[in-house]
Formats: sequence, C-alpha cells, structure tokens
Amino acid sequence: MHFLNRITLQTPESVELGFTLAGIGNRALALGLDYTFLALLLTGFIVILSLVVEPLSDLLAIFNLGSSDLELWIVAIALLIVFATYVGYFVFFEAFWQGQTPGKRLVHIRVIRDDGRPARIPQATLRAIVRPIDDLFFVGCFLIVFNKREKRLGDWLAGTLVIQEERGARAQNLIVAPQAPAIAQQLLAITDISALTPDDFAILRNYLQRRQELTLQAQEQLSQQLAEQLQAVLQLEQRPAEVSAALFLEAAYLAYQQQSRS
Amino acid sequence: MAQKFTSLDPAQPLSIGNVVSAALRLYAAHFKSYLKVSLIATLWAFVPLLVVGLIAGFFVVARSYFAALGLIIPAWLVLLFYCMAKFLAYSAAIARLAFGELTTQPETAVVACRFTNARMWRFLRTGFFVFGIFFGVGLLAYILLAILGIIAAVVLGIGTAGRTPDLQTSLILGLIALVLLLAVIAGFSWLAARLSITDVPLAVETNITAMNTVGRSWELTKTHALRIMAILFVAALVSLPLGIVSQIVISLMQALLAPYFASESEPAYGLIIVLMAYGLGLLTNVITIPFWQAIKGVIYYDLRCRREGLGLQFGTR
Repeated sequence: MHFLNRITLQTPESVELGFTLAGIGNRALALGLDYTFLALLLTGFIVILSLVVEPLSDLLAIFNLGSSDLELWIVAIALLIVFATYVGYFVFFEAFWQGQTPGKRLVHIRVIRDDGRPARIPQATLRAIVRPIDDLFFVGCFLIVFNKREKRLGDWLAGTLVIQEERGARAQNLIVAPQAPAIAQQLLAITDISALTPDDFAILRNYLQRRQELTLQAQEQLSQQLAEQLQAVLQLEQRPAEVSAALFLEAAYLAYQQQSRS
Repeated sequence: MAQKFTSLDPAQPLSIGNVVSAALRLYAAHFKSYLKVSLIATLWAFVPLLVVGLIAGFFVVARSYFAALGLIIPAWLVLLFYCMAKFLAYSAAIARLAFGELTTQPETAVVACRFTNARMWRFLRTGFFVFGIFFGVGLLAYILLAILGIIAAVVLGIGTAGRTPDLQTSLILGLIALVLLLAVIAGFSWLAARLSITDVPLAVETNITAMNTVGRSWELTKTHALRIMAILFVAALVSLPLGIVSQIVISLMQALLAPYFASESEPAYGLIIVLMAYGLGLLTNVITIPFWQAIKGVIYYDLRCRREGLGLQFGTR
C-alpha cells in the first residue's frame, strides 16, 4: 500500500496516464483557502456597496427617481451578486485557469475530466452547482474519504477528478562549492562513476537539494554516512585527499551529470 | 530520470494536505488494528471514572465506613496514574505503528503495544512535563496580562471616584485587549504545535528519556511550527463532520426518548441523556484517537525527513 492514492487513466487516444489523486487533506485546505478569499471578496463588495448606497439614493432623489422600494432593490441585487460571485468564482477559475481555483493553485491540485482532458465550463458549472450540498452537509467530505476515486457529488455529476500537480525539475540551481568541478574531473579519472544507479543519483540529488533544511548535526552525520556509502558503491579505497564528505558528494553529482551527458 | 521525482518518492517531504491524507489512508488501511488499540486505550482512561462511580455508589448505599476514604483516595490516585500511563502508552503505540508503516518497517499492533507499554511510566512523566509547561506558560501569561491591566487602570485612573473613561479611551482599550487576546491565542497555538508530537519520539526511538523526548520534538519542530499549525487545522477541518454527526445522533436520541418521560426535568431522563452523551463521546474518542495519532506519526516522519534526511541512503531501492 502506498500512502497517497494513485490512479491510472485511459485517454481517448488510449494512452495510459498515472496521477496521484488530490486527497482529502489537500482538498480541505484548498477549500478553506478559497472560502477565505471569497469571504474577503464579498466583504469588500458589501463595504463598497454600503458606501455607495447613500450617495446613490441622493443622486436618484435629485432626478426625482427615488422610490421607497430602493433599499429592497439594492438588497435583492446584492444577494444576486453574492450568489453569482460564489458560483462564478469556482466556475471561472476551474474553467479558465487550467482547472485551478486560487486555493487549488496554492495547494498544487487541479480538476481534470475522467479521461484526463482539462475541465471546461460544463464540468466546472456542474461542480459549482452541487457544491453547496457537498460542503454544507459534509457529504463531499465523506464521499471523498470513502470512495476510491475521491469523488464528491459534484465530481460524479460532472465526471471529473481532482489530482495533484506533479512537481519535477526544481533541481537546476544546486549550489556547489567552487572547487567541486575540478574534483569531479578527478573522480571521473579514477573511478567508474557509472557504477552509480539512477536511483542512487536521485538520492544524491535529493540530498543536495534539501541539505540546507537539515539540522547542523544531521548535515554532518548524513554527509559522512552518504559519502561512506558512495565510496563503497564506487569501490574507492579512500576519498581524494583533503576533500570533505559534502564536497565529495557534490563532485560525484557533477561527475555523474557530466558522464550521462556525454 | 525526471519521473523518479514524483510525489511517490518515499524520501521526499510531504505537503500539508498530504500529511493529513496519508494519515487518513494509513488509518483506513489498518482500521481494525488501530481501532482495537484505541479502544483499549480509551477503556483504560475510563477505568478511574468507573471506580469513582462504584465508590460513590457504595457510600450512598452503606452510609458509613467514611474513615476508609483515607485509604481509598490515595489508592485511587495510584490507580489514576497507572491508568493514565496505560492510556498514553496505548495511544502512542498507534503513532508508532503509523511511523513503522511509513518507513516500510511495519509491525503488528501487539509488538508496538508491548514496546510502548514497557515504557509507560516515561509516557506519564512526559505528559506531566508537557502539562507543566503549558500550565507554567499559561500562569505567566495570566500574571503578565493582569499586571498590564493594573498598569492601564492606574495610568488612566479608572476606578477612582468620579472618573469614567470617555468613549475614545474605552474603544482604544478594547482594541488593545482584542489584540492581546489574539496574541495569546496565537502564542498558545504556536506552543501547542511545538509540543504536539512529544510522545512520538518516545514511542519510536530507543535510548530516550521522558525529558529528551520533549527536547527532541522541540528541536524537530523548530522551523516548522507554522506548517504544523496548518496541518492540525486541516486535520480538525477534516474530522469536523464526525463531531457533527455525533451531535446529530445525540439530539436524535433526545428527541426519540423524550416521549417516554413525563417531563424533561425528570432525573432519570437527564441521567440517561448524560450517560448516552458520555458513551457517545467515548465512542467518538475511540474513532478519532487513531486519526490524530496517525497524524502525529506522519508529522514526525515528515520532520525526520526534512530535518534529518531520513531515508536518504544509497542502494536501498
């Protein structure tokens, strides 16, 4: 079992695509964010409205158009706008922003159709119309938790899925020490760097990406440990002279990259 | 190689939402065994209360032997501490199980419970320690606020005869009080996040004392308090429906039972409702404890990945 829900889809072109479903946590967080944004938006709208009402009725009175029903009209129009904003917010963003509301974008999830194609206005509208039922009575929450494809009512109706964005390729800007390239050359000369498997390289890159976040003690320990393991993999008796564990790992990373490029 | 860097990579840290999802999926996949451990834990927590009920019942019926209370109360306190330690140990076992699953070193519930039970007194000491921290900080905050209040009162001369503050001053004072209140809430949430996983290192690591399990979790959560607050918030959001359902069930039962009693103020009716609400509360606890313990297990795992590079080693896959 894996701890995130994976599914495979078949596109109309019979291509198989793998996705990680969004999961209840991401969806709850995205919804919380979206409702916060909506609340801010609507509060702003009401504040502006309340500022405008008085001058407006004064203005209408000048032209003798003022009526006793004016307030009722304003309330009715305001309610309509509030409802339109609530539905429109989700429809607009899901249909025109690659299936992502601002909340979903921040959480890195998106809506797609069951066959992997992007969601459009019909799907976004159906999802938004059923949303009050899903959200108010927590129907959606239970459905997402208890069914395999994590569909709430709106998803069933619209034939949509909510998936996680795959985030690859952040690895470009790794900071390495200035003397690392030279030691990489040295390594290429004295060892067969291709003994390193792609999985090992992935670990190496992972380490270099994340080492700043580690505690100082862990940085020390882990680089030592990884360097020793790497030496064993490369069958090196000892590291090049005066090369620290961290520097050795950086050099190995560069050497592997260079070797796989050539 | 890019496809190796999907969110499936076991050594990759988890996002806020994924921590919650992963915990829930772990719980769902091991529903029976987690629930059983949680039930045992909850029953241990229930025992002291049951004994109090029995003792009270005995004295109501017997109406004598009150001197025995001198013995009964200390004995009950010992029982209380024992049961609390058991409760903490069994609850922590669930976090241990979740962590074992994440690091692909799964255990059976029996083995995990045996491990945590062997150090149950350390869990109790940890609990007291954490409670002490909260209590101390709370007391300090209270005293500080009281001093601030007194200073404000003295400076503005509030309370002295014939001087009531004008509207503006009261408004400003109210605003300051609100800001202070929010600051206190934020501070306590932060503290709660920093101390949220104190029992997990003790449930997982070897050679660890009640003191340094708190130190360990303090160190691990150091730069991630806000993330943990967000995780706990999302988890609360996700578990909200369950609480609401149990509320609905209670009111349903009330409505169903009401016709059988002459009036709602009848003691028997009140007693039945209280007992049922309590029973349902226990049941809700049994169901939610594994969820929160799994969340703590996943948070701990995630922090170990982020802060200590857990799972980063060559040639394991």
